[in-house]
Amino acid sequence: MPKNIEPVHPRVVFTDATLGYQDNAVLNHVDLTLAAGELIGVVGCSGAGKSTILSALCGGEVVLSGTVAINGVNLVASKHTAGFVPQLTNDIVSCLSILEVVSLGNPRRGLRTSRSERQNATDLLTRLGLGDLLFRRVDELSGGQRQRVAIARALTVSSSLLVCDEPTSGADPVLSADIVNVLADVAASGTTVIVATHDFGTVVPLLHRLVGVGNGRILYDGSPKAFGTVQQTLVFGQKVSSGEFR
Amino acid sequence: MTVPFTWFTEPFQHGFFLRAVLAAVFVLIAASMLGFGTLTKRYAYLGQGVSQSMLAGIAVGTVAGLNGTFSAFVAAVIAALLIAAVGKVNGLGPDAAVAIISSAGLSVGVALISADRTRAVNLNNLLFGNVLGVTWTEVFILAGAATFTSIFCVLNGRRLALSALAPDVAAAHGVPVRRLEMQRLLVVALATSASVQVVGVTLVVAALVIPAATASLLTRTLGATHVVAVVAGAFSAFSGLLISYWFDVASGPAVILTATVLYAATLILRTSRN
Repeated sequence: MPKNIEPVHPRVVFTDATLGYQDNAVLNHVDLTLAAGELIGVVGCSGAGKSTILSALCGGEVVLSGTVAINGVNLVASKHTAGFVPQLTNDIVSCLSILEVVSLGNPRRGLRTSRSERQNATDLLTRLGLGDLLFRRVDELSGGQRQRVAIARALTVSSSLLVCDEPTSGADPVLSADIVNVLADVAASGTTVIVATHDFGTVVPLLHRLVGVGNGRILYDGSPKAFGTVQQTLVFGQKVSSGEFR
Repeated sequence: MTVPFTWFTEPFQHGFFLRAVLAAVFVLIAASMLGFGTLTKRYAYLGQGVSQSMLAGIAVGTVAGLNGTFSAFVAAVIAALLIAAVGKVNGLGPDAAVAIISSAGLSVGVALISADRTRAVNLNNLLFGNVLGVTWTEVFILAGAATFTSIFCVLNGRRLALSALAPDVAAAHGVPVRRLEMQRLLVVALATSASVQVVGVTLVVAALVIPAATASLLTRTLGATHVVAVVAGAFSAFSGLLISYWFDVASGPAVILTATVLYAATLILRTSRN
């Protein structure tokens, strides 16, 4: 098993954290613990603070007060880098092979990809089922394969914490399920995976845990199955249909 | 048919030709090193806008008695910042912002040059280049620009590539995206302003884009893309100048046409193989 995907056991803890931008608090009194191997969803209306939580996990300067710590160390001070998976887009289209695109996930200085970085990327892509397509260009892949490339690229910088910003946005239900199943496999190896999503039809039922944000607070933290009508109305102001909530 | 050896040697009997070849090769090296980012970020239109706006800087510099490369560099930076600002403030698309700023820059340049009848500025040379007139001092400046650009790209290539491919991922992975983009902008301004004498303001963007486009057809790794782009650029510079010498055509367009033919041939070969 390559070095960077050895199971590690982080524990990210938000303690009475106020998150926001400059002086504008978006979320107050956030107390949240993310354990190793969890696949956690964050839901809420647009602007409710989903991205702010993700930004805090990526080391963004959004913690106005309180603490966000990883394994007991302040996350910003620890210089821990979370792997980031963006929305399903065509952004990683270029002449480069997927092997090179994944190798570039580790943004060190220099131009050339080292042999060890290439081996690491090969191992990750093989693990995610793309071992036969290493020298294909990203625009030669399907949507699901592209998102696997994005997940592999994120894992090059962190095998402990993966932050996914609506990774199934724009995907059909089959593709969405495929992407979430890949994320579940990654979580099963010990990586903490947190996913912002609007997809209650496909994504939410596959999650281990759901966090609902709204009105500047965390309003729900529990099982996706227990996220019933009352909780949905609390977070969204109305019952959520099985399709994507906008 | 074999090409006589004298085709390659005779032009070098003239001192200006050696200077021209060195200048053109340095310019194409600098531009080719920046080509991957220009292509990936779809910055070709920005390069076009910035390069056309440089004419205003050159004209102001000429009237004020400043060094042309320096005034072109300042104009390139101002134009790039204005294009970004106009797009943001007015909510215009980047294409419209480029059209406004580049047209204004071009117009200011042509107006100033045409109004200043005390100086004999050759507008044609500014638009399409005049590499055959470069001095040794300018060759050394171009060598410095090419070296600086290459070092910048080699040191920051992976970070530049990631921030071009996926800026949000780059930021989350610890790349100082905004600072790096500003540095990239300044280096592009430096390379384009240094290139004006060789290929002219209208053809600078071609030097940025075409060798890198050729490389993108042949390579799939970042390092190889840069190396092949530089080789294609240098080859185009040398071959273009030979063609310019023997067929008595303008040097800048000859270099760019050679690069275009190389790209087209590579594209056809690649397509036919697939």
